[in-house]
Parts: sequence; structure tokens; C-alpha cells
Amino acid sequence: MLFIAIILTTIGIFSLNRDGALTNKISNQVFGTAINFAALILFCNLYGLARGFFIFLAMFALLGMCVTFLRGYQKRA
Amino acid sequence: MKSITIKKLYTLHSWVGLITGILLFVIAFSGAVAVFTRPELKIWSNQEIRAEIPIQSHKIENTIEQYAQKVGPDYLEEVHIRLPSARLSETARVIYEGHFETPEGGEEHKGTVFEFHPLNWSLVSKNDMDTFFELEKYDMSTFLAHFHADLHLGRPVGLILTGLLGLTLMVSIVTGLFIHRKILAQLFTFRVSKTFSLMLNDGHKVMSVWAVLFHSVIAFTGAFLGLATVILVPAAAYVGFNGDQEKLLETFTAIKAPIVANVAQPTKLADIIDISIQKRPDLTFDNVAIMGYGDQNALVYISGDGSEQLGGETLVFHGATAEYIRTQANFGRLEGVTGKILDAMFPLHFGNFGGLLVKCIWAILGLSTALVPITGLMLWIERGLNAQNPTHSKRTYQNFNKLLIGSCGGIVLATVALFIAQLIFDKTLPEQDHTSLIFKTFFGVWLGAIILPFVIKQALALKIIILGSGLLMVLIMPLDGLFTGSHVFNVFETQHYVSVSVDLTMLFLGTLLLVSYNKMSQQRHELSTTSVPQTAIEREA
Amino acid sequence: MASDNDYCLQGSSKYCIFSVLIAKALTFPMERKNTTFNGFKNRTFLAIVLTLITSVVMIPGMATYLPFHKNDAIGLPTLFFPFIWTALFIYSYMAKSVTKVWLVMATLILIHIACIYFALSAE
Repeated sequence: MLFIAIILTTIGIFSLNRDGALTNKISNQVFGTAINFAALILFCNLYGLARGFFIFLAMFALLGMCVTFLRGYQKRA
Repeated sequence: MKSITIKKLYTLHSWVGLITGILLFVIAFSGAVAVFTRPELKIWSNQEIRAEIPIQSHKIENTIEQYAQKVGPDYLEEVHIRLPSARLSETARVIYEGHFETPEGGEEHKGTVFEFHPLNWSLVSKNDMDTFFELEKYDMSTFLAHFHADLHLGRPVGLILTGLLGLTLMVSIVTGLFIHRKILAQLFTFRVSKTFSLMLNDGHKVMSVWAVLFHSVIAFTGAFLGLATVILVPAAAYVGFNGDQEKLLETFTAIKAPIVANVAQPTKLADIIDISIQKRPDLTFDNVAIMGYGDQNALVYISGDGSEQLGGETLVFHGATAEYIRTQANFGRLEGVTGKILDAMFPLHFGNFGGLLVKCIWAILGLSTALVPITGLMLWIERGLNAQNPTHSKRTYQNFNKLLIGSCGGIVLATVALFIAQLIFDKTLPEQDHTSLIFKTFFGVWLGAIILPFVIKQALALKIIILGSGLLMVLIMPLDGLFTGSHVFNVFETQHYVSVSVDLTMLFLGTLLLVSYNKMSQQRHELSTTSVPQTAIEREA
Repeated sequence: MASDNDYCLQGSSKYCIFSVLIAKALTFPMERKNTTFNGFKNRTFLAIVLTLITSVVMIPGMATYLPFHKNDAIGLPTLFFPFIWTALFIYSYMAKSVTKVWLVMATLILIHIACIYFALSAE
């Protein structure tokens, strides 16, 4: 379940990206938000409401940073 | 927003960053390491607690009773036990505490602290409570935890300084959010292939924005924890409790004393511990407090972490009958929202509320908190050196760069050196207090690293610091195996899972650092041979 | 975005108490006059000294009038402290007029001291 939650968060972050910026497409924004919301529910289910909420936020931040950095290096390569 | 307002905010952001940047790196980096000090690094630095320790409830009960007879009835008002099974300290610690009236009519807390071997419960030391807490012994894990809390500047100075740094971090976050308000347009932008300055700029923004909530939580909780005992509690007690801080703490504290019946009845500690373990297998119990030990009305509070509750839970029992009364949060049992926020405050700062995964996330995000001011400072130096008409002289930027390399790189080197020092001291000076040696090693290495860029070429100094840190990290595992006989090949036999994991992590991080440095050197070499312009910092180096 | 970067440290920090200490240690030369902030000395005093005093005085002061349960009335101001300090610190530099900052801080201090006085004398 944890693995699925992490994957969902990553997919949610990816779908928010469009050429290095936050996507303008409403459908992508809605999709990204929905996927992240699903991940949040999974985290809350795993860890309880308060803990799950904070763990999701931290995971979102970490994965967002990783995705951005990896994207930068990938572009250079 | 008007451009003059943005200009003001930018200037404020830069000044706050310049003045507090290096110190903020030191605090944030030590915080990222301190996430693992309890229990992982504690276990690593003490061989006696490397394997799991079972809870020996009857042994605990017998020992407490035996020493209760020795200290006498005056010191049985409070008995605090740190259970060795949680492996939060190298010994099992028991405090017998009594409240005595002073000639002025006040109340004085006196007590005796016994330290026992965590496995066989043989007596290790006996101290007066005041002496014990004054002469605290440090191993590398305790040293790092305290360094993060007050930089070893003592209390209250150190606490105020770290608290104020939390406040200035909040200022940096708020001003940063305003000046980079269009950041969403570049949320996923990190340009490596362009200029070094641009990469620093992007890196600074990426780490700031993605982790802005984390930085804010750390800044807020850090400011609160640093200033709570020094400023906030005395100020809060001023009106509500007529300045009586003890009364305020008593109101907010989770452990209440019962009305003592003065009828002797044994406290069924072993039963209480066994019931607690049975009742709540999800909790790792670390502390027991017995109020009114040996009395008919004694209350036993047994606290543990690991449940869904953010700040841990405390099970309350009737001491004489071992009857379960209730489960309470630390502050959350209070009416109102303050208690719930206070309960969340500590775990949110320490990242100890969701196992190893959360600790790892907290450590990595903590490193980003450390890197944000550093990238900002590097950006300032880079721009200053590149500017046609710089604000300061070239020498100033160079000196600042040297200080940055020495103090920030030095803190990494000094932290890693502590691991090696701990192993060497344990091997060469067993049974001795290593506190002063730990202090000398850490501050000696750090001071040396700060001076180094000023006496040799700064590029060489940077190389020495990075390679030194990497090599020391790689050395930890073989040295540990050599000195303690505990290594990855006999881990199932010794069951030293935590310490071997620490060794492996350090090996991985050391290798990563060395490989990254090697790769960066190669790239730099390629750039210099193809005559692509180097960074201003490198040119000056 | 790029234009934001040009603002980097245009003003001198020679008036800032902390900066002076650091500047001496690093032989940090201050070469330009502050053009960003008027009354810089005053603002720095307000931001460093008076902000701390005001936010500390506000903790017991707020406890007297916050319409919450006693625990919250005492506890919440301590939790608000970092936010109040940050807001006042930034306000000290951002406000157009330094006099206005002085007035705001002095008023806040006086009101809260009065609250504390009345609360203590009523007991």
C-alpha cells in the first residue's frame, strides 16, 4: 500500500508538469490533484489522519524535488 | 506588487540570508543528522545495546523495590524509569525523587539517579540528581543531538540563538515567497546545462519552493522549542499563574501526582508492564513514571511511541492493583486545541512519528533546509564576483567563500570524524568517559577545516574536506568490524541490525560522495580543456 | 524574475548591528550608501529590539483577553509568538514611515501592559 501511495504521488507530480512549469491544462491539473488526493487517502489509511497528512506532504515535497532535479539532469544528458 | 516593495523584500531576504546563512546550515545539517540520534546512532555508539533488549518486567520490579528500600520513603514520591528495551540510552536509568520544603516556604526537588546495565541490571553508577544532570556524559549521538539544540553554547544562550534562527528562517521564507511569487511558472525548472549561476538559482528555488511547508514547520517548531523554556513559558506564566512557572508546567504536564493515602501497598510494576505490552503491541514503551511508589493510591504512567497518535501515548494504571485506568496523549488530554498542537510540535520537528521512512524523509528534507541558505550565499558570491560594479571588493567575496567552504564543509567533516573517534575511543579507552575527547575531536576538526581555506588554496581545501569526509565515511564499516567484531557477515548471529545498517548507510553515502566528486572533477577537467568558461568561484579559487 | 536578481544587496548593511560585527570579522567593506530603506538605523533597532519586546509582552497580554478556554488563552499566544515576531520584523522594514512603526509597536506594548496590569490588579 505504501508503495502504491508513493507511486501515485509521483504520477500526480508528473502530471502537474508541463515543460518545467505547472501545467495550464485544467484536465491535467484536475487529474494531478485527484491522483495526489488518492495518495493522501492511502497515506492516511496507513498512518492515521494526522500522521498520514504530514507524511504525504513531506513525500510530495521530496518527490517533487527529486522529479525536478532528475528532469534537469535528464535534459542535459 | 510595487517594484520598491519587491526591492525592499529582496534586500531583506538577502541580508537575513547573509547574516544567518552559515549558522542556519550548521543547525539544519546537524538537525538532519540528529533525526537519527535516538535510537539509531545511540545504538551504534554503544555496544551493549546493539542487540535487541527484552523487557524483563520482574527484574525491573525487583530492582526498583530493592533500591526503593535503600533510598528511603522520602524519595518515593516520584520514580522515573527509562526502560532499556527502547535503547534510547546506554543504561537503564532510575530516578527516585522527593519534594522537600525549603526554609523560604517553597518546594525543592531532590533525588538520586541510579544507572543500571541494560541487560543484567547490575548497578553502574549512583549520583545525586543535580550532579547527574550537570555532569552529563556524551557519546557521539548525544553530542550531536545537543549540538543541534544549543550548539553546546549552554542554556539559555544556545537555546535563544537556535530559537532566533528559527525566527529568521521564517522571515526568509515569507520574504522569499513574496519575491519569488511567480515561481509556479518555473516549478519544475532546473537548468544544469546553462551557467553555474543559473543552476544555483534554480536549485535554490526548487529546494525552497517544493519543501516550503517543511521549512516552515521546522522554522516554527524550532523557534518554539528553542524559545519555549527561555522566553515563552515564563511570559505565559506571568499572568495566568502569577509568574509561577512550575504551576503552569504542572497544569500542562501529563503526569499528575495522586493524593497519597499513606497506606503501604506494593506497586505491581511487573504486571503493569506485561499488561501494557499485551494491550498495546504497537507501542514501543520507553519511560515509566510511578507517582507515590509503594502507596495504596500510586499511579503508574507508562509511555510509548509508534501508534497513530502524533505525540506518543501514555497508559495510566492504578499502581497497587495494576488496574488499567485510561490512555492519554501527552498534552492532547487538555481541553482546547493548544494541547493537540503541542503534541504535534515535537514529532513534527524530530520526524520520529512514522518509523524509519519518515526519519529518512525528514533527514533529506532537512538537508534541503541546510542547502537553501548555502545556494543563496553561493549565488551572492558568484554574482558579486561576476558583477561589473560589485557592492563589495573581490577580496570580501573571496574571504566569504573561504569561510563558507571551511565552516560548512567542516561541519560535515567534523560530524563524520565523530564516528571514527567514537570507535577509536571505545577501543583504546574502554570504561572511560569520552565526553571531553568527543568535544575536542569535533571542534578541533571543525576549526581546522575553517582555517584550511585561508592557509592553502581554497580549491585544494575543498578537495581535502570532501575527499576526507568521503574516505572517513567509507572507513567506518571496516573499522567497526575490526574493533567491535560486528559486521555485515555475522549480523544474523549478533543481531546488530541497527548498527550494521548505520555502517552500510555510511559506506553508501561515502562512496556516493567520492564518486560524485570524481565525476564533478572529470566534468570540470573536460570543461577546462574545451575552454568553456568556468564559474566565477572556481576562477577565483 | 531576472530583474529581481538585480536587487541583490544594493544597500550597505553598515548600519545593521549584527552586520557590523560580522563585517569586522570578515573585513567586510561597506561601500555604498543605503538607498532602499529610509531611517535604516531606526528600523534595525525596531526590528531587532522592539519587535522582540513587543512580541514577548503580547504573550501574557493576549492571555487576558483571548475569549478561549484558559488552556488556549495561555497556550495560543505562545504558539502565535513566532508569527507575531516575523510579522513585526518584516513590518519594521517594509512600512513606509518609521514613525508609524514606532507608533504601532508602542501602542501594542502599552495596550498589552495595561491588560496585564488590570488582570494582575484584579486578582
